[in-house]
Amino acid sequence: MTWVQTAIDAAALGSQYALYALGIAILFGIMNLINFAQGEYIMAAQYTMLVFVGWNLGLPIILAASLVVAIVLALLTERVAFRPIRGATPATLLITSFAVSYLLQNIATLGFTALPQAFNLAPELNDVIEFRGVFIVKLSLVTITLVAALLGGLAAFLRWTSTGAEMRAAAEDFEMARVMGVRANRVVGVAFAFAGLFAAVAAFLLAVQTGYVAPTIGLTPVLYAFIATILGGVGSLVGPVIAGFILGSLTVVLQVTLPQSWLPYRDALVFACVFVILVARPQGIVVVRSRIVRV
Amino acid sequence: MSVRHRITEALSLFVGLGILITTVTALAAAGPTSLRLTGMTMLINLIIVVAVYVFVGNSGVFSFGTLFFVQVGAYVGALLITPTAIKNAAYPELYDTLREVQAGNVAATVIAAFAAMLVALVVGAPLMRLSGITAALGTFVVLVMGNVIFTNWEKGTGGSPGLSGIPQTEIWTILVLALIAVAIACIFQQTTWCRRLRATREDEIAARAIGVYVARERMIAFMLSAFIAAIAGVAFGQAQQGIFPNAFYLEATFVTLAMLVVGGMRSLTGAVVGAIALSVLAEALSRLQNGVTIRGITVDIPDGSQQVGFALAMLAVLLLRPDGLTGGRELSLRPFRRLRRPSESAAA
Repeated sequence: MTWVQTAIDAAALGSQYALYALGIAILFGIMNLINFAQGEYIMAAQYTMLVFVGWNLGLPIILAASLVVAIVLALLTERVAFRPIRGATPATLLITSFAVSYLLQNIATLGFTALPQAFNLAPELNDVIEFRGVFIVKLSLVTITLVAALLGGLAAFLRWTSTGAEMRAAAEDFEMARVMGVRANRVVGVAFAFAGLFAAVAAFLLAVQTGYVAPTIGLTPVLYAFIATILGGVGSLVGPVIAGFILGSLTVVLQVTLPQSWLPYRDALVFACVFVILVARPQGIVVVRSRIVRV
Repeated sequence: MSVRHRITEALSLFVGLGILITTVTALAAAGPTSLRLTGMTMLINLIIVVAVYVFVGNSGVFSFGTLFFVQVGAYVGALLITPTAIKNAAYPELYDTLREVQAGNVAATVIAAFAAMLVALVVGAPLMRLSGITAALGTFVVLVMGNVIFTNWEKGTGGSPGLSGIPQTEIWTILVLALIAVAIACIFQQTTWCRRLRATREDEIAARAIGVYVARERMIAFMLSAFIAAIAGVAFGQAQQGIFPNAFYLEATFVTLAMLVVGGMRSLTGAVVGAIALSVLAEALSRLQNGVTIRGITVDIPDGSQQVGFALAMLAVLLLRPDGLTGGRELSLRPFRRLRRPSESAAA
């Protein structure tokens, strides 16, 4: 039953991409900011894990520490780099986040050198379980359940708490929300904290999967996050999640079906498909009605 | 505006920028070989930034794809300029035609530029109808796809180690190329197409309402941008004597975008000033990394701080002066106008 295998792999990779996408989408919806630094929050969380693994502390402490570091870094970058330019043109926001990302990457190079460094985090998750002829990596199951739980938690938060309602209002129309009494700084702060949270979880899954960290580790996640966010539809959270799953499934399906000589071009083909989808449906998968520009 | 006025505008801008660029180049050329190489890198970056500006500055649409066209130009140029003997010895896996084909420097540059323009036509056709951020993502996808293809297509491009053995060139040749690029941009700025494009930058819907065909105007700028970028690519190959795919990827994209933003995204002067200013900064930081002694006090910053300093400078400009160093203004010889006869300046 190889299709079951493929389906599980697709779900696992799709969950990872959806997680990356959420980190970008949550900020894009509220502030029109594509935060390239999201990749560096992931990188910072991973370096924290590297250091703490070196000190031989238990897994819960390692996870908690990386979570704290990611969230603090996210809030710090918000306060220092993004708050002064709030409301600037999208191009300025984009370039600023690019600059912050570059800065953090090079600070990490200063501190940890540019070389990849290996470390062993929860290696038992890389074990394979066999179930009626299907081989499942434990990490895949953890990924799927963890991301599903996170998505459920986020949905509940947005639906049932007052801060969640404020965030939804801000994503729909920031100025109007402020007129209604929503405090901008708090909403933006919570959004960045969430971005840090998603980054920390993504960092954990990535670290267990690849076993190493380097200053450039955040580039690929941010790339896929960026693509999934636009593909999914600007301003919505559901869209990027769906797009993340589509990207993951596409990658896995191509990996399984492409002939050997074409495999190195797998990513190029995925991006070609993205290109085609973008041209066919530029507004994205999920269109948020409040964002349609009316003339 | 009258044609005469447009010509004088373009000419005065070109003369002003030309003097600036030539002066800085002469300073670099007067120094040791390392400074010459830095000067060549600065000029190449300047050409790339001008290419970025021609599209991004005039249309307001962000593009990450310029380095892709630099890459196309670089590879076409390298494959044409490198002597067949070297190609046969070093890259037996390349296609036969690629190894045999040969052209002089000028012919190679022209062919590379037109090749890039053709690629831009194909790649840009679907992109030009997209709105701002989606188009930006489209160009990002193009950049990444290009990197994957150039890295893996060993028979066409030599794969990730790239091509080397490209003959060297003089700093003055690259200066000429830079001046040509600036001239093209100056002329383009005064054309009707560019005016229409700027209208779409200011207010796309209003521009459409007065009959501007947005996709076409953007496409013209996109193709021109690719043309100029390819010139930079050919020059890059000859300056470095070797090219490889990762030289045209994210780091270079960041550096050139930074130069444009720091200088000022909305004017050609901004592009030029940004390129020169950040190149000077990079050189200064690089020297500090190697240790500099001022009156007996040695200043030495750790390796890798150059990029950190670069990013900090960029952030400082973005946060304190978001319109860039020039604030969108163009260099012009307007103050000199008053020296002319009053009847002339009144008619202009």
